[in-house]
This record gives sequence, C-alpha cells and structure tokens, in this order.
Amino acid sequence: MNRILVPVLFLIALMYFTSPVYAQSEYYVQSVKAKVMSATSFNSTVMGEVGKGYKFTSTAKVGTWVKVKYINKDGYVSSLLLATHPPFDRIALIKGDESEITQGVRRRASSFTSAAAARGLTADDRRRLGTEERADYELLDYMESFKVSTDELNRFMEGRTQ
Amino acid sequence: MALIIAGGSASPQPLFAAESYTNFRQRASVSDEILTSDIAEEIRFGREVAARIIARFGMYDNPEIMKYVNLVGNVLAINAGRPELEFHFAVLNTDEINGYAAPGGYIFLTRGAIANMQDESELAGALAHEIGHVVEKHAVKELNIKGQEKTSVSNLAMLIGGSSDSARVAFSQAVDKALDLLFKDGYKRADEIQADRDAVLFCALSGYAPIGLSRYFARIDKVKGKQTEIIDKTHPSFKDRIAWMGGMIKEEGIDTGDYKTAKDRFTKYITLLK
Repeated sequence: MNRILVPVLFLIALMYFTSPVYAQSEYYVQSVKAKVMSATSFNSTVMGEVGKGYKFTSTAKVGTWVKVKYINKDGYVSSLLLATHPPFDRIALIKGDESEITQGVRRRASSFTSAAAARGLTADDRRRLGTEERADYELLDYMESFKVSTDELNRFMEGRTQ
Repeated sequence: MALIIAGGSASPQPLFAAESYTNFRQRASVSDEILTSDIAEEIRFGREVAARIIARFGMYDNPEIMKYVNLVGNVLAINAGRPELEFHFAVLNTDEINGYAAPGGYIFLTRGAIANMQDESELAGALAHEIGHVVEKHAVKELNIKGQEKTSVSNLAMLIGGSSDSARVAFSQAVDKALDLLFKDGYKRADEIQADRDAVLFCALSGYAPIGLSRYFARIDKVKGKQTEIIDKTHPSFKDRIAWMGGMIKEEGIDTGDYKTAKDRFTKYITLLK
C-alpha cells in the first residue's frame, strides 16, 4: 500500500509546492504603437510608448498582460499587441487564381460528385458540389479597391472631436 | 508545405456565463506563431469565402459609406496585432442585422446592422468584433481540417495548392463549412466571447468608447423577427455578452478615460444610408 501511496503523495507535494517556471521570452510589438503601463490596467500610469517591431524581454505573463522590462523597470503591455515573432510585412496576393479554383471545381463537377460519394459526404455536401454556390469576384475586387493611406487615417482620427 | 500555428490565443473550452472575466484572462495567451506561407493561404481561402458572402447578399454600393467604413475599420486594424494582413471592409445590402468575417481580413457589416447604430463607437465595436474573429483565426481553427500532423492553415495551403480532384473537393468543402459556420452553426461560445473581448480592447486602444458595442447589443436585443434570425441562432445571448463585457471594461480599467463616440460624424454618414 505504502509503495503506491508514497510516490503519489510525493507527486502531489511536488505539484503543490513548485510554481510554474516562466522562461524569459522575447516579444515584439505588432500594432502601430503600444503603451507600456505600470500595472495590469489601462488606467494605470503610462510609462512610455513604443512603435511596431519594438522588442521586449518578458519575465512573466499576468492574465492578458505581458510583464516586460522597460528602461530597467517592470512594466506591462497588453498581450493583444504582442507576438513572439517580429511583425511580418503586409502580404499581398497575386490575384487571378481564385477563378481557376472555382472553374476547376465546376469543370470536374461529375468527378467530384463521384469522389464525394466515395468519401461518404452527406447529401447536402453532394448537392453543393453539384450546384456550386455563387461567388462574386467583381464586387470582391471593388471591396479591395478601397485603400486608406496613413495620412488619411491620421486626419480621420484627429477628426474625432466628441 | 511547412507548418505552423503554435499555441492558441485562448482555450477552446466553452466559456460559461458564470465564469468571471478574471478566470478568462488567466486562460488567454499571446498571439500565435505563424509562417508567411500560411498567411498567404489564409488570405486566399478568405477571398473565396468573402466572394460567396458578397454573392449571397450583394454589396451596398455607396462609395462614401464604403470609404467611411474602411476608415473606421482601419483605425481599429492598426491596433489589431496582425500587420501582415490588409483588412477590407464592406456593407452588405440586406436588412438583416449581422456582421461577418472571412479569414485573411475580409469584414462585413449589414446595412440593417448599421441602421441600428447611433454613433461611430458602436460601428467601431461591431467592426472590431469581426476583426477579433480574424485575429484569433476562429474560422480557420474551427474548420480543423485533418491530415497528417499538420495544422489547419497548413492543410488549407495543401488543399489550395493541391491539383488533385480530391484536394479541390476538400477545398470546396472547407469553404462550405466556413459558410455554415457563419450562417448556420455559429462559432463556439468561447470564440464569440473572445471576439467581444478583443473588440472592446481594440476600441479602447483606438480611442473609441469601449461601451459602444454593449450599447449597440442592447438596442438590437430588442429587435425580433427575421432581421435577427441568424444572429440570434449563431451567437450567445446579448444579455450575457453585455454583462460579461461590463465586468471586463471595469477590470481592464477602461471604464473611464478620453474615449470618443464621434456621434456627429456618424450621423452625417448614416443619413446617406437611409
């Protein structure tokens, strides 16, 4: 009995008395800017503001906040603004292949239906594969044509007077 | 195709109304690790979903409104923590009250939704909720396309890049499932709550009144019938969400501060919509 009980109690004690270890990590600001706060609250004192790509060394995680070293002091940054990788450049697609995907599906509808049946799809799935829901790429292009420059955005933000 | 998405932004466990915001905070974590190739595939997949959403409703064709919504959306997007994505915003031409997000940064609000708003902070809140779904990759994770040991996005990459019939069938199925998620099944309750949390914080970080989304929810909670049929079916109750956001706003220390509603500017644009 003791041969089972002792190791189990030892494991429980180990789990109870040891706190989780937080490995020191690096975090990078992903948003255009990020405020460093003195506590885990947006109404605490603002210690400073850093820009996109700024690298922090973190010592702990507190809820949705990351504890960071900032000018030799402890501060907190919202985890929503950070990632463990440097920010990526904006990724743009080379368009024109979406219609290939759709046409490909449409062109081979019968073979897809067979493949679908073989894969055990539901009747609803098979109906969809046969009929193809519509897609409007023209209006999608229109949607994508609306661009906002940094200057426009700054003016727009300054225009919020209320 | 290489992977990876490591770690989630929040636990996939269901979040119950009784759970406090403090507990939820403990389960949240920092943004995913990703590869650029996966992002490109996420956008490609999102374009397909977006094209079908547009085809279903049509777009509200008013360049001034479109520009305005894109400006508000971009104010939020620069604080959303996914600089690799170019977010696009549009108004769907339907009386239905709802918003939709497709992976890769395609955000939609319906004409009916905007008609029920009273200021720019409410518009920002609704847009930010949809941005939250994209930032947290809820659709991509929910689809959970199986295949070897790869993650969802990598599997999307495989499907899109695949030239075989079965790959194309699987891609088409994935798009259909994404549409089912939006129009029929809805996201997990925890995902909706997480998108609300993100929305409130994105608004605060962008200078908008964080309470805007709650005020809008309280208003549309009173609308019954066909206009709210889908949103009622696919989302947790507004009362629960409003209560939860109220606790969160206090706890995050954003219940006071210099936050804007920009009511006048919104009113100017909303008259174009009606």
